[in-house]
Amino acid sequence: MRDSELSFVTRAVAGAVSRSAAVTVVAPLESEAREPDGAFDLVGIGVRPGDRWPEPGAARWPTPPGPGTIWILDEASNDAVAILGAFGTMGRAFTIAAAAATEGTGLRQLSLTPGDRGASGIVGMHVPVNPLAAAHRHAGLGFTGYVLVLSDRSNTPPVQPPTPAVAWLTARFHDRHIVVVEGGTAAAWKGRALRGVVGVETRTDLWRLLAHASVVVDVAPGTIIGRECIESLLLGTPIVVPEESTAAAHAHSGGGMTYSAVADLLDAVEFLSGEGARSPVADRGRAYAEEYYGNAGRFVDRVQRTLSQGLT
Amino acid sequence: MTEKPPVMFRRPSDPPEPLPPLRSSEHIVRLHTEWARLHATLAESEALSARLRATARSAASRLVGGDDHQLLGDVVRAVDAIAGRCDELSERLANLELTADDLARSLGQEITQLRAAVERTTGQGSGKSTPPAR
Repeated sequence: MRDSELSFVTRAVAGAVSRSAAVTVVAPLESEAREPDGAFDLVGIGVRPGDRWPEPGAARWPTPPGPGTIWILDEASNDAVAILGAFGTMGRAFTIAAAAATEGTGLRQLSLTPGDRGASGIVGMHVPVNPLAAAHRHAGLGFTGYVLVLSDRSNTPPVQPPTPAVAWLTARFHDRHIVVVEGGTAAAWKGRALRGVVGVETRTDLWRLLAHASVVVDVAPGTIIGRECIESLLLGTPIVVPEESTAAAHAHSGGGMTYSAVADLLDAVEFLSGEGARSPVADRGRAYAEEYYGNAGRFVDRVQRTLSQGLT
Repeated sequence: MTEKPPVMFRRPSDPPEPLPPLRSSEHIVRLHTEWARLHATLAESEALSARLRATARSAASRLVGGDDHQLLGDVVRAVDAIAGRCDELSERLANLELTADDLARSLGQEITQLRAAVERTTGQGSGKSTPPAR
């Protein structure tokens, strides 16, 4: 669930571009397209055997292998996916990544996050969530209104000791449940002690946890769009994220707060725990997420409009 | 976030449900009831036949097992005293558990706030953002 967002973003962008052009996807050499809901792998969207990039020893920014190329970059994992589409004028290339990734490359940047000032085009994305998931809390938890922490520990880490962020939060908010999602589990902490562990086996489980939290702390958001943060905003839960993460743009949009120190994190959670402060933040966050990430049709339109503008 | 995170507890500090009073437990109440029945005064029995039966039973009891009767009375009183002391200790333990939880809550929260504030003041958390779980 906390794997690279590369496959998820590739699927969405390839789908949008394919509305106006035939699309070929060139995958990184060692692509890992695991999705817990099993809906996607790179092969499933037309990656040709042998279309792997870059070749061993190749430069980080090779000549685009074809016309109308979009590179989707995951800075954290140093991976990239190229989407080749016969759209518009030939020979132009784009990236979808952080602004710094395009320096000196001559590539034009399209951004998936509206807060990116370095971008020459903002396309947003479509992040689907099932609003019905919010109708019921996670079956394994008998409470709501907890602080949900999305951990940066992957695979199946031991539940104890908790990640440092959880340790600080459960020490500061003694009477509140702190639920940490990592490695396919959700561990409930309260008063510095572990109270129980439940499974998070599907995306719907995660959506339920997001929807019934009072605030979501994502200590290591996805490096391309911060998918879980967007899902949280769509479900009406404010977010708290690191200041220099990709998801900070979502928080700055009004849907949450950022931190760069422990005290900031604790203050942000305390502030957003008050219903008077939380409610307007949740409303702003949901409106923002709906605008840029909530509708597939608008996303396709923005992609096509941005590409055609850049190529004429 | 360079400091060590707060230490976790090995078990929850919140107080459990208070222990039920031992003196009002079923077994001890029954013990008292039976003891009282054995020593029911004649005045409590209104019917002549009942009073005669009680007098005969009491006399027979004293003739057959006077020492046992005395010992049984002592045991009942001892059990009652122990149960009373257990209830008193349970109440004290419950108060201690509440105090421990209050201390864990208030001191833990205040120290955590203080540590976070110190970290911010000394600049360990300023500048480049450092996600806390890394």
